[in-house]
Amino acid sequence: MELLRVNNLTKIIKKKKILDKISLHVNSGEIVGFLGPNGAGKTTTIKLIMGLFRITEGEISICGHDVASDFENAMKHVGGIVENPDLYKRMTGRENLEYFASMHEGVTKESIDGIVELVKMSDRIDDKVKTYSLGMCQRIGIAQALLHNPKLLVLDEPTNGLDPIGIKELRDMLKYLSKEVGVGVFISSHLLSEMELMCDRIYIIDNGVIIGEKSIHQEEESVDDVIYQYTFVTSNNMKTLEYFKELQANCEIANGGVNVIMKRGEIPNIIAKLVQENILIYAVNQKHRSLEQDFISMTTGSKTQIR
Amino acid sequence: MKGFVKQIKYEIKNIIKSKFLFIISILLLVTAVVLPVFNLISSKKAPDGIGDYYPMPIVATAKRGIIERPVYPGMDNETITIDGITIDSSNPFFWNLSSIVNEMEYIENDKDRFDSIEALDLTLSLMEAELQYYLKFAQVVTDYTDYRTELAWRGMQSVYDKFIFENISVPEEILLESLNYRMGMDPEMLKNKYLEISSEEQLAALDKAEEDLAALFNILENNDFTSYIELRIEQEKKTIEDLKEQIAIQEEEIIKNPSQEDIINDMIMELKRQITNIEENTIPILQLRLERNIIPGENTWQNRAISDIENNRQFLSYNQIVTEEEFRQQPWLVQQYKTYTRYVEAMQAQIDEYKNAILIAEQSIEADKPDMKYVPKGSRYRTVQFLNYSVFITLFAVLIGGWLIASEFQQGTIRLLMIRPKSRIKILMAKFISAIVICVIIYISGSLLNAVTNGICFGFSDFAFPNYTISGEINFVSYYLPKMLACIIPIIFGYSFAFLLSVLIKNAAVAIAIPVAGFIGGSILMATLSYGGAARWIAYTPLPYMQLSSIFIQDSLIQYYIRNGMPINLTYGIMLMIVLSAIFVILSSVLFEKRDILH
Repeated sequence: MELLRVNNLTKIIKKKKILDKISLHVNSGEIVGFLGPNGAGKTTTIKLIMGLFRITEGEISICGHDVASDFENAMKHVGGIVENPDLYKRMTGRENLEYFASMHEGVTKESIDGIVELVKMSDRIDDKVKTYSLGMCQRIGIAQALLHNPKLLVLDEPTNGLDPIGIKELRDMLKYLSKEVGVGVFISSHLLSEMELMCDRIYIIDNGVIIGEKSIHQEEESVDDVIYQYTFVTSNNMKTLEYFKELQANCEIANGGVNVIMKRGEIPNIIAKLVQENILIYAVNQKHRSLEQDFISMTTGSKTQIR
Repeated sequence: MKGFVKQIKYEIKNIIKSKFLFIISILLLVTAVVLPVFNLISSKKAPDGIGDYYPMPIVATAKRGIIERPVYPGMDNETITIDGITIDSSNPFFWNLSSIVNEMEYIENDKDRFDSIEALDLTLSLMEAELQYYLKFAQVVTDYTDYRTELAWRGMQSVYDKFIFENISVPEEILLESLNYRMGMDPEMLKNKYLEISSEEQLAALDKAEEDLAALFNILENNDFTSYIELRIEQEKKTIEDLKEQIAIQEEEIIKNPSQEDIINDMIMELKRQITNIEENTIPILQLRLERNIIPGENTWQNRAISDIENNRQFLSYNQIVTEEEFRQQPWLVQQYKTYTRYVEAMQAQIDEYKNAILIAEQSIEADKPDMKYVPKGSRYRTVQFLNYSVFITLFAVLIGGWLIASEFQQGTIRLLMIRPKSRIKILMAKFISAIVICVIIYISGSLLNAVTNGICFGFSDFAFPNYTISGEINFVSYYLPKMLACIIPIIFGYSFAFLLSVLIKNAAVAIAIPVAGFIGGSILMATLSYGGAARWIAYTPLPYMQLSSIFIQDSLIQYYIRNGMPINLTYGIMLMIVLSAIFVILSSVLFEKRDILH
């Protein structure tokens, strides 16, 4: 079932085109990542989905309800965090949740308790928010997104400020929600490794345009097409580098070897060729994943931004 | 609808969680209770701040009496002893007695002042008569507020008359000299009134003077209020006769001097006005005093009401609207009012005010239940004064209004708020209404708490008295409640303005500062422009109505502007503020609905 559909979405702020005809969708039971360097338009897209920005062109619908024309019904089915989870610091975590719950229908005290339990905040829920760490605020932020049992979750960098255990818990929770409850999750992040561990599908956005869509689990099936980074340790690194350059591959000399980025299927041929050229091969290391390289090679944004 | 009410409930809870606003709310409520208690305590404190310091007296002996003065003059407790009777300086006749005693000693030592020793003796005996007269009063009347104080001045003529007729055989020049010295006697008058009348008439006049004095002493000693009033009325009637005589003289004068006709006519008019005043004002009031047993001088509300009637009637007799032609001829009127219409308007307002004051006073006396204005230390007056509380609530409302939306932006909570399944307008309106509900609850409960505390401190019985208007008497609740409720409108007005700014500027400090500056600046502007004749156009702006409570409170600055011709119209002002508030709310909704939440 399709929960979120974005069609040809364009947003212009102060005569500047922030988003240019982007389209995407999120299905039930799916975790969809949204990757892009700073200023690519991730938060703008999320703000448009959540109704914080007015749409310039195109349409967004959530569970079939148009966000612009049927805001209230659309919002009933979505929960989310946009940028930092800023809460009312003068109130306790519970008061914050109760306040937000008052604007939804049918949220009981018991269901709030259940969600607090789920985000593991039971111990501190009656403390003032101003005593919370960023990670705790993030947990309350996730709790408020889940208050009304939404079908779709839209999370803007939810791992910010969470410790590694917190990130793992969040990942497990989102996986549980999508696989067991059937919630659709749309999640933006800078942390590529996180995305890889969590997402079923990833959209890559740059300069307001979606420049790629990757289906992570599909790729694992046809292994030969997956791009990895390989490190060749040979008797003649210079000659090896020249050979790669002839193939017009992305390559460099590093750590006493040659790094090259290419598809897994091409490696046996290359090794055979190098052996023919009388180059001795001591080792070939395959780096586990290469989404980062995908991302870098696909985006034109500042590469230093990507960690 | 049910959902909306629930939302408002939670919004109120949210606002109250702000410690700062919560503390201010509590302070505002506490003020309402503490103020009357504070007033009660400060009114009970002893009024004199001089302290218990008694210096040693200095004793001076004048021939006729002994005057004891303290070391530091002017510090009270000066006394004078005459014929063994000691009168202290708080006595209303002390200064008459001591000045006569001093002067007697002085002229005895300065004999050259008089042409003959006989004249000196005669003067001394006249002064002795005065001294005895005052001494008689001083023994009975010890308080300035006693109506009989005034009686003493009324009897002086009889004292002189009696003295002159008793000494009618003394040679004319000696008599004239001492009378001239003591009372500025005119030789013509001495001849006409005292000397050149028959001896029967002289005897009769002596009898009359003695009789009058006896009547006076009778009132003095028996505290006979009825006789006092009768005496007063009789004297007033005599004054009318005198005035009529003067008019007759002046009318003859016109025939003699036709060129002076205008001036003399003015004089006659003034005399006639005085007669009318006595006939229509002084005498009826004396009769009213007698009828209601309102003794003059006593510090009672009845006396304040009576003097209100007396003074305002007198003002009325002098404030008559002149014709347009006369208006044009008087440059100061033209300068002050510019046009005749405005002059008539201002004069009419003035006259209405006088008439209203008379009406309230008359109705109070008639019902024997005082209007609020005559009980300025009572619960009603204090409760109405407390309407100014609404000004503080307005500032508080501005504080909340400016903070409400801007703080959501500044804290970033606006993002979590705007992703709820409620339209922006619903959320905005829930916030708008919740804060105004808080302000109104604090205002109304503060005002009622104040009224109750005033009742406890200054007596609930005062609330039971009615207030008076042109259309008759109304009970205090009907008088006070509409005013109290009307003062909610400036609160809402200031609040909606700050609210609009809060949505527009998204900075709480600025959204609060602008309305506060407007409020203070508006007051200063009004004061500046209304100096010497009010700037009329201000009455069409919301400026004067922002302090609606001061329009309701007597003797406020705005009341002064109104008297200076500011055409304040309450209905207009209230409608203006309601319409502007509505515009502010609509504008803030429209702006809020359309905008991107950039934060």
